[in-house]
Amino acid sequence: MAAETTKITIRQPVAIKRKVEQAAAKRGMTVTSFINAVLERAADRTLSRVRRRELTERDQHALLALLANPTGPNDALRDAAERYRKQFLD
Amino acid sequence: MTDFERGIERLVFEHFDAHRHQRTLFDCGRPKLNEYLQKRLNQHMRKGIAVGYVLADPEGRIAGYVTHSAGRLPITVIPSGKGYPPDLPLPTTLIGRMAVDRRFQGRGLGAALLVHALRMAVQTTELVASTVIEVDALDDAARSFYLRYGFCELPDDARHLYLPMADARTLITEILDGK
Repeated sequence: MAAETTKITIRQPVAIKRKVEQAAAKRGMTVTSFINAVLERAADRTLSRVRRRELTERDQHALLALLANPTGPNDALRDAAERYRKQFLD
Repeated sequence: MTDFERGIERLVFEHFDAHRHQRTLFDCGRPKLNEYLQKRLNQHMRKGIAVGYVLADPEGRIAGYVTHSAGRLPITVIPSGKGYPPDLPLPTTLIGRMAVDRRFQGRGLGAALLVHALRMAVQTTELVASTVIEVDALDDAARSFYLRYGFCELPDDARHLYLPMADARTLITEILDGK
């Protein structure tokens, strides 16, 4: 049995529609099945990015720069560690 | 003030032990964080999802807790300059949840839990490699807490904060004599 279907109405520039028709023909697909396949793949990618919490390229560079140049613990953290040592280790 | 509240100097850090620690009495003021300690941490520890450390008195009453897990961050960019090889995910240490019981709030125990978490993270890297400590800050108060202690944010993601493992290691070596 075919999956339940619904309709989606979008306004599309003529140039894109032509391109989509050509690409679908090249794959031997109808325009509808081509659009559905492409949209589903794009949606999956976005969702898995959210699930796996991928970093953006900008954030990846920022993180790598942070790891390459660690600034050392700040004063607040050093003070907290001093208090920790006195209370729990000495 | 009860003897529990007075006994801040009787508190010690321990691995969470569902048989010994009285988790039902814990109240940090946030139902989700109470519930995590009361209903899920024990299961998560048995299943290898998280490890919990508690700050408890000799009677097993919990003043605060913090949890660790291992994580990894995919890297797809080519790093500029020398440094990390591209296409290798970065192993991370996650601070999952941290909470202090209401009766102990405002006495610096959050900072103590953080230092303990960093200390355990650094010790763990002798057995399992990790490049950075990351935390998912649940709200603005948590965010400003971690920022105060030197955690950094990335431009496109306000929720997650990072502290290089190198900085945690420096802290433990210099202040805690490498313990």
